[in-house]
Amino acid sequence: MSDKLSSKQLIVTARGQLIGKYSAAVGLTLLIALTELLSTLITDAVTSAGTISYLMRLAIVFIIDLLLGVLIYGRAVFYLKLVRFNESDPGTVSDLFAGFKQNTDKAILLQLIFTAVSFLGSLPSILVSFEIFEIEAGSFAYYMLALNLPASILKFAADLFIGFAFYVLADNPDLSIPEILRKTLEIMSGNRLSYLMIGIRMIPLFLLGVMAFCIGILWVSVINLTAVTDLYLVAIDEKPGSPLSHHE
Amino acid sequence: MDPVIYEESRQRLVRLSHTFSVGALVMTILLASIPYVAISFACLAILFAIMSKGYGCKFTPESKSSVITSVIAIVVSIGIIAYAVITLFTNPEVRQGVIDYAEMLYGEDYEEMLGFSFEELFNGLFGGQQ
Repeated sequence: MSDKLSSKQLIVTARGQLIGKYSAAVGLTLLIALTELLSTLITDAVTSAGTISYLMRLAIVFIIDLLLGVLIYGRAVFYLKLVRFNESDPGTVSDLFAGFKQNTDKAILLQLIFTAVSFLGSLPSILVSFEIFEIEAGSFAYYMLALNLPASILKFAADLFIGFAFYVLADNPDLSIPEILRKTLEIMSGNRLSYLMIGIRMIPLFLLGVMAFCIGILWVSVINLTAVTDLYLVAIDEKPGSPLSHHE
Repeated sequence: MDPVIYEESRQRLVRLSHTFSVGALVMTILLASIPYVAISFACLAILFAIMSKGYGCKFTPESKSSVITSVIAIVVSIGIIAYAVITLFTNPEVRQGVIDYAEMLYGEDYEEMLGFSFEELFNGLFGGQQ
């Protein structure tokens, strides 16, 4: 195992690696966020009130979320290039569309797991909206559902086990989905605490980002993703690259 | 990456941090009526200052000055907000002035639209007689 970096060191490394790369990374994050927002807005516009329409809306959101897997794979490709600092092949925004050229099916299949987990977390909200069970307005459960906390907690829990799946796919395009999942679980074991600690250490920065008109979150999420990618590199015994390493 | 380009990119973040911190302070002191925007600007300035640290664990003197400026802006802005809220709680004349101003801004139809009057809202929130 290479020198294991603490979560704090990983965040500092991420900050250093991102100098001069923020615009590309933020642009990429913005593109994914806008795609998600636009598709949600269009879905809301084309569907009307009523049970069938609501079910149709859920189905469309599910499919869009699945297709987003292609962009998430592209994002993984970009961040891997960013943290490896290969001068001949630096990460660019066009990497976001790498999933359209290769591994499209595998990216969608991997995203299926994350989407299924998200939907499982959203199930209480869906059941409440169908009036299958009722909750009192203003109660703890009401706020939990309003903030979609069950879905977020389940998604983070899934990330703790298979959070590196897209990086593994980007590095090993020949592996099958079960093999990718097995390898991801193997890599994640022993690194879950670091993954969790990165998330916890980023909370103050996320709060700062929220207070900065919310647009601050764009930069903070970029630092978070770079630190997570660095953790992946450390987990596979690779040293995170440095923008200054070729000139040291 | 060339170390010179790297340092230039880092300095750009420091300059951004400086711009936002000065903007926050100007907004706080000259335009005391918008302290919320000043707080957001100050937070953005602190964020850029943290980002400009790069591999370093400490702030450079330039970014430290923008963090201090931003913290001053946040403290003064919170002070302005607190003063405004306390005044609304304790001074009925000021409260009436705000109610009159809101009524002037939104015209006569607001009560039908909102379902309550500004007088009820403000007196309910800040403890006046209804």
